[in-house]
Amino acid sequence: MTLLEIKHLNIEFHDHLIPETVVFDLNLQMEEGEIVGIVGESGSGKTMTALAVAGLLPRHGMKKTGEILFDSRNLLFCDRKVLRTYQGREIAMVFQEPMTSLNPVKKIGWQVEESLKIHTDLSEEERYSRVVQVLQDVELKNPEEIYHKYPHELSGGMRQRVMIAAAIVCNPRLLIADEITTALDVTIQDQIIKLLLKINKATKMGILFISHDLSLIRRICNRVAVMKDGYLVEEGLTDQIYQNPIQEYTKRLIAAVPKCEKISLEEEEV
Amino acid sequence: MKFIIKKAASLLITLVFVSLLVFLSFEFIPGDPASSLLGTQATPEKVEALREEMGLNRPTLVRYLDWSSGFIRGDMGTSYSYHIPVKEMVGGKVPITLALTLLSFCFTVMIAIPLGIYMAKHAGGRLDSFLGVLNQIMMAVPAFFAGILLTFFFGLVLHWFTPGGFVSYEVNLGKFFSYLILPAIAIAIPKSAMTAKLLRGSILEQSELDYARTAYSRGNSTNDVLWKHLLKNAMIPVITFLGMVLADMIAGSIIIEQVFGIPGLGRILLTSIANRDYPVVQAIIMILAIAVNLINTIVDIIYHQIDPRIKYQ
Repeated sequence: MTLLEIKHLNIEFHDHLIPETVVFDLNLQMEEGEIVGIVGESGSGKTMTALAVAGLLPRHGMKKTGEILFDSRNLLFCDRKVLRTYQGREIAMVFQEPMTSLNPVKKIGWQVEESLKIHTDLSEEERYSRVVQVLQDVELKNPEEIYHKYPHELSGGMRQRVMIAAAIVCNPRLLIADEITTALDVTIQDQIIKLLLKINKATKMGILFISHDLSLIRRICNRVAVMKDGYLVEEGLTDQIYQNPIQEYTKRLIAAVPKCEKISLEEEEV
Repeated sequence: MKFIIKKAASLLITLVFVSLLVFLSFEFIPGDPASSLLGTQATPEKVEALREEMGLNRPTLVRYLDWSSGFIRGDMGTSYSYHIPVKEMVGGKVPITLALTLLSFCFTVMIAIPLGIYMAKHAGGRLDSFLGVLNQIMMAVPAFFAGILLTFFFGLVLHWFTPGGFVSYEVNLGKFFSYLILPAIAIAIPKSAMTAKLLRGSILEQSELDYARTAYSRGNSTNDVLWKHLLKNAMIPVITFLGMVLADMIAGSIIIEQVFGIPGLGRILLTSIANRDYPVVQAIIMILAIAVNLINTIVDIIYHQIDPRIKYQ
């Protein structure tokens, strides 16, 4: 079953003198429970696409056309009240910066619980046990203790786990992960990727995984879309694209993945 | 709890230093209370005799300890000019200045916080721009001038109250407060304009941060994001500012008391300075210093409660 369908998406910013188009005629489809990657360098429009799906684009100073179909409803132009019933319940998002994406003056438990408060009629005890459960699911030790902590008392990796917990607490059908490992140490990166795979297996949650790191995408995504300067340049099964890239840009992107070799400057100067 | 104890200790130390400063500054400024009391009759012999009688010839340290220990016991000395205990002169005035200050502060909070939130919510709109200009004007109006305008308009044009009238809180508490309303508004106008501007900016700054976007991503409405997420964070700098405003109001009320003819601490402070009535001046300045320091301590404690990142070191 199709989970998400993006048709002819255009995003144009009008907040400067010269309008700037950040996404050109993007088409992308995602199946239920699938992990799809979007790869591209900064400014390629991948985050804008993600924000558009999550309904988080700025409300002023921009023009958007096309369709983002979820449950055969165009989320790009639906009423904000309707959109809010999807946000946090059906579509959830985890962001790049775990250090700043949590509210500094609210306890972890409160923040993880928030989506439940907004979207469900669960009692206080039921919400508490669900929050503790989900904190356990993201492999945080002592969830009861963490419930009462503030964000500044946790490390970056723990905060990103909390962000994931807060995103999946309502069992959404689509999780958007925007560069969620970029700000983390390499070892933590690895654990977070494995955690996402585990969540995907256990709950059949579709994941839109956005990254500039092609090797990371290859480890987790069945399918990948390559973006450059707002255009989708290539799309297909990850392994296929990785082995037989058609577009010149994809080839360069694959070549740019760092190898475990000592860098020699002389070679590059030739 | 540990934090509060530490704060109380630092409050005490500060007050000891303040008392030293208050006492010593009157040692060094020129002018002798004995000769100013005697006025034109001052001969060197008479001045010397009076100094001896007033105890001014004793060493400075002895007089400081005498004064400060007396102050702690509640004995603030005797007025040079009126020969009555300072406590009697000052005691009755403290509630008047205190009431005026607190009333001005309540007005400031009641005006500034809703106004700041409203302006932030409608930032960029026409009313926000209008309020921004109005705010700028109000900020530039000194409290005493606002006081004169209010007296003119409500007293002389509308005849809502008698300019210069005053009823003691011991006679009629309701009437007492009714005479304080206009002076309090005069003090509150520039302060609430500043506070509202600060709050507006603070909310807008918070709304740009990542956690606000996270809050939207969970399905919060704009109002919920504002009330449940932004406001507590946005209030942190505003509370610091309100602490300073309150401290400043205590001093500011002295001037406004003159404009509206309110017999608070301000009036005796000014006459006592003119008469070189040091015990009275020292007592009033100490009371003001204690009040200001107490406010700062309370603000620090509130601050600590709101922002979990501030840890007791």
